[in-house]
Amino acid sequence: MALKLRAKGIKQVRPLAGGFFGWRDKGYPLYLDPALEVPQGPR
Amino acid sequence: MHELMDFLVANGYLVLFLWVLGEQAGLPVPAAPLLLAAGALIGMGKLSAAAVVLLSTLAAVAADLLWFRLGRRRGAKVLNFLCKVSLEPDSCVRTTQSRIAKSGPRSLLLAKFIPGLSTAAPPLAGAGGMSLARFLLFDFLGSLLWVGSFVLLGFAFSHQLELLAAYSARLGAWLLVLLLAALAAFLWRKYGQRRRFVKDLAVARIPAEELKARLEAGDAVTIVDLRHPLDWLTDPRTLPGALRMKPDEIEERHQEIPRDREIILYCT
Repeated sequence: MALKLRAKGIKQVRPLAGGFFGWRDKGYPLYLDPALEVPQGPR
Repeated sequence: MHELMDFLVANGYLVLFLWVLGEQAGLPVPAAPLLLAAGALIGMGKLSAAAVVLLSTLAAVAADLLWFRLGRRRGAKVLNFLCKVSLEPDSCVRTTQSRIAKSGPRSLLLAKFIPGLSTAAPPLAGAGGMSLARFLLFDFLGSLLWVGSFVLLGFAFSHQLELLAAYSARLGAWLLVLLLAALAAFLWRKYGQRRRFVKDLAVARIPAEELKARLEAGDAVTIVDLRHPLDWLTDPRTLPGALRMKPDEIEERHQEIPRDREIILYCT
């Protein structure tokens, strides 16, 4: 994805090490968007 | 091929069961040649078609059930682990998620024919909350289709496979050396590509601690949440101020991302 964005002209791109889980597992702040529609999954 | 067939006749159904179970559990032991050989042996009247198909299908379902349970318990982390050890780590997660999201349980019918998706689909089905009954139904049908296709192909070409076995016996060890060399060259090339890719990303990555410090200092950074909608099931929250964008929306929405500051991306 970073490479894809660089190809779109967005040069200053850095992926977050550890991704979402890495951030969450350190106990850093997270927010819930009330407008978000969470899919029900492939039931 | 000749040795493979002798081996199958001598050790029979147990080997077939364990081999398919091992491949579906994630071991690098391709089951397709064994299923083809089993089909050829059915054609020669040395193995029973019903026993081969049933045992192989049950082995595949048993391994998938294990991954399904792990996916249910550990969520998307299992999928991330599986994709990390795959040869195409950059596309593995996205491909699996997109297919499951698009086709739901039906994607399990053809998952075994698609490299990367075969082992990754069951844990994602578990993580996505698919019911056990539905999973078992579709996974059984998909496994039956996969096993049946290779066995039928082996059965249909049993005569040609016999000839191939005779040729390979004549060429002897040289054929094996040639095949192994081709496989080694392929794996070496893929490994090189993967190392370069991982190295590029490792240099550019921002540690969570640095990002937190920069947010607290009020630095101008834009965070983009690229998690797939199915990942929101496990945790719908985002990092502070993150712009949420589905991976396949980049083409249409990349203009929303500012060019005058650093962009931090994250997925699972």
